[in-house]
Amino acid sequence: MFTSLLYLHTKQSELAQPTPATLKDLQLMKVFKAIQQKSIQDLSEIFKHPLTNDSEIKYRQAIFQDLVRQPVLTTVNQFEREFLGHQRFKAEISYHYDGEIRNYELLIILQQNLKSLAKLLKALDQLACQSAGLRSWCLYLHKFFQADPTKQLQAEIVDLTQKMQDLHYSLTISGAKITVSQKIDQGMPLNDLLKQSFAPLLNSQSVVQNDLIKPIPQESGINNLQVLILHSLAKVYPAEFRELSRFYQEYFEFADPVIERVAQEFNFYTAVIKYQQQIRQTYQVNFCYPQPVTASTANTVTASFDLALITMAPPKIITNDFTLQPEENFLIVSGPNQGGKTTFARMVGADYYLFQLGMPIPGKKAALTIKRQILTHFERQEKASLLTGLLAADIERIYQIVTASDQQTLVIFNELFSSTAVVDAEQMGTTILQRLIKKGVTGVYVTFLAKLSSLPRTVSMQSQVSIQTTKRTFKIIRGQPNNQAYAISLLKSYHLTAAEIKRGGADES
Amino acid sequence: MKVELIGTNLKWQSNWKPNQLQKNIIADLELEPIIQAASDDDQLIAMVFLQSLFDPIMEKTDLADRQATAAFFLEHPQIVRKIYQVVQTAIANVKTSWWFMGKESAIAAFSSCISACQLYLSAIEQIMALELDQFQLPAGVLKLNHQLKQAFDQGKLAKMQKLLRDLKKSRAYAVNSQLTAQLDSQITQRRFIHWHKWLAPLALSQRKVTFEIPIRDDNALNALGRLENRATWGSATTLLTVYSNLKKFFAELELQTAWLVGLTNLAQKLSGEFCWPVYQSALKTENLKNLVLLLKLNGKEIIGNCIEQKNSNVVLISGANQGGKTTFLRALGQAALLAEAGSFVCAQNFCLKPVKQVLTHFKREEDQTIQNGKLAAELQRMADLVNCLASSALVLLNESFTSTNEHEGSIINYQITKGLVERQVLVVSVSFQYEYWQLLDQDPEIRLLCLRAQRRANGQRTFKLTGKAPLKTSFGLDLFWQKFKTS
Repeated sequence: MFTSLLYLHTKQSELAQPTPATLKDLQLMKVFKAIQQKSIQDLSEIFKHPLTNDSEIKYRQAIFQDLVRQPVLTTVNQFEREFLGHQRFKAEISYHYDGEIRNYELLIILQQNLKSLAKLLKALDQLACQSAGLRSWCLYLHKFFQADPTKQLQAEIVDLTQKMQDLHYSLTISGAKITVSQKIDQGMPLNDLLKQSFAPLLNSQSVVQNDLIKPIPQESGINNLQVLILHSLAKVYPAEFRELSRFYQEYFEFADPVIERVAQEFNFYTAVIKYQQQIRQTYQVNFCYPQPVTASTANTVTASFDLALITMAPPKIITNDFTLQPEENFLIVSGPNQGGKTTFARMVGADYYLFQLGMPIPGKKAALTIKRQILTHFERQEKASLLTGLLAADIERIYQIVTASDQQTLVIFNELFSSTAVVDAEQMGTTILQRLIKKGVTGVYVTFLAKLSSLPRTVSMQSQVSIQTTKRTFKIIRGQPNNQAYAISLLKSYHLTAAEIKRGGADES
Repeated sequence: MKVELIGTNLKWQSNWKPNQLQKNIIADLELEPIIQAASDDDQLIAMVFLQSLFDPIMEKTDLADRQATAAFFLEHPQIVRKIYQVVQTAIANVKTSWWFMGKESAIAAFSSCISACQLYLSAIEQIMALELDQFQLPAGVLKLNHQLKQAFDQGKLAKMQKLLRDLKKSRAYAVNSQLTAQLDSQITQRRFIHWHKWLAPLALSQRKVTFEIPIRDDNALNALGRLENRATWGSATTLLTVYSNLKKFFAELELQTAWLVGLTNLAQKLSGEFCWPVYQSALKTENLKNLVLLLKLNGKEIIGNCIEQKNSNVVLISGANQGGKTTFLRALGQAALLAEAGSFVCAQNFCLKPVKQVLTHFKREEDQTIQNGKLAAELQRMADLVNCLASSALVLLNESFTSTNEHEGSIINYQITKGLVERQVLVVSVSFQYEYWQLLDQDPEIRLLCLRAQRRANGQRTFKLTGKAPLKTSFGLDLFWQKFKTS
């Protein structure tokens, strides 16, 4: 039985619960905020609950793949604009004080909703959607339209709308005083009269000023004046308006729970697609749908980037690849500061997280394994003054992570123990890594300690600097640490190489 | 309704300004005093009159028509003055009463148009009261009279005025309406209810409800405003068309009567010594006088000059300094401009072949101050002139290219003159350059007419130009000696 576009079978309680620290460290809240801005519905609950099995992820991925096709997307976008959910329209209708308006408004909204559903169904049928989700949705709608209550409602709407639109009336306006009456054709159309009287002055061709006043468009929607007019009109045509009132009593609570739900769920898909298309166009980058793989297969993503960085609107984006072979547990990322290490670590974490939301992730191609949990620890360097207390808290947190981790855990560590002595830090780092590797945990470890990458089942990755200049390339690639090149080039940029200091001294003396 | 009082298809602009070339001509030919005399400090007349000098009539019949209208009004100046005054008052009143600014409000346009049209129509009433029928009318005036009668006679004007009055009096109107699918009222255009009928109650059988929008309900009042705008759009557009046609009619009538008033002003300041020019195949005039001099000397005896072009294509004027050369050149330029504008000229007779442009290249004092060098500036001015040269022109050169030595100046002058002649231009050149004359004289393509300022044996000038070749000496020397000997 079809109930949702977001979940195939899973119940809310079976979903994963990421720790607040993870979302904060990966800066995913920024990303979700950017997506949320493109949606009317509140999507935060969806973002907070990653999926935990392949079929669920594939269910969403397939729907995304259907929806990114432009004609499908256009259709759905239009549906989202036109369809008014039950809660929303109840609030909107209750806002009106006058009975006539409420009654008529309901008629219009229900008519509009049925129309937009029918239009959506017709379009989706024609567009031959592949995803199980959208196909079930179409089947559901077909059944809905064939059901008797729906047919009955449609017939009533047609009948009543026709009756209302057949009401002809006259407005006689004098200042702020308005008389509403049955149509009387009082007086002569003024424009005809003018054209007749001023005929000799109207035959000329050369009128430039004619386009001085723009045609005034017909308004839609309700204003106070129309409320007053309808109020009076109800007295001029009481029978028709009584019927409208009956319709209101009967159909105010008319709503189909599945349709209501799905109408909201579309928002998640369209918001993500909008967000993703915008980034694509701005930076000429790719998004892809990672293939879910088992832990015994390599996890790999090519040409990925950090979405949190995009929220800062950088001028351009550097993409990075990563691969973890089955025999590799940890990526040890080292290299110059400000070289993109943290961004890289965040990117890996985000890729896994977004993959588990069933979303397209940044990158050209990807294969990832579902993780039961993603645990992170990012050191906050600016708080180094609180050293002792902080170190204790850090160690406590890291201990918890190590304890809670298992084979289905992704761990991301960023610059642990950077404020302690190198020998101590190396020892602590080595211990933690060994423990985690023993448990079969995978992850990323960002560090300035080159020695850690010599551990078994780890891979060393380096942030790159162009040698001659000190310019960072923000590329992180596999390779053994070589801090010399960067240090020299950095010194050069400050004229602090040994040779330069020597020369400078010579100059001064 | 197009006003064709002094010509069909006039393209005069009410915001016309002379371009640089025209400014040069105005300065070179001393047109300012003439414009001053014609305008009597009326800026519009000054602008129109000046503009007319740069919009030459090319056809014989058009010239005759404009001259006929001009002659009629020279005879009856009070009529054209009256029309001009009525038109100007109407335009000024419309300007002050006009408050419709934007493109949004049909209501604003509607009521602005009513007031404006009322003002215009009352001006038309006044013009029609002049009863032009009583005169023997020339074609242009006849046409205007006919237009007015056709549009407004036989009660048509009264009917328009009544409708406008009624609209002003009664703001009440009705619209028919239907509910739209969006619950709004789809209304028709407004229907006119005569204010008498507005007082009468609706039929008893009709169900009706009347309400009044509460004063503080801004939302409803604004919505009413928009509804009124929609209902009024068609009528407002029609009235705008009427207004805009009237506005155009009055603007044209204003410009054309302004020109005629200018001409009557000018004629009044000259004591009758003028003729109506004629278009013929060559330039020919007798007793041509400088208009500025006439205005300045106010009736004193002024020597007129004669010239007969026959088949020549270059007129070379040489002779004594202060012998009247420049005065004559200016008189010729002024007369040509006035003639082609349809005005009279101050001469016994004046024939010319119509040209699209009268252009001038006069020696300039200010050229000396230009850093580029005087010659460069002179050449630049000539280049500008040649750049905008039309298919037919009269070019007046006054001591051009004297800022260099005579040999060089002569060659420049000759080359340019020859070039202009080949562009079918009639060149009238004042120059002392003897070599320039020689070069022109030897050129088989150039048919030269030479005029020389007369100088009597005692050095007294007669300010008469005679058909003689230049002498090798210029007479600057004797001016010098005159000064030095007598002192």
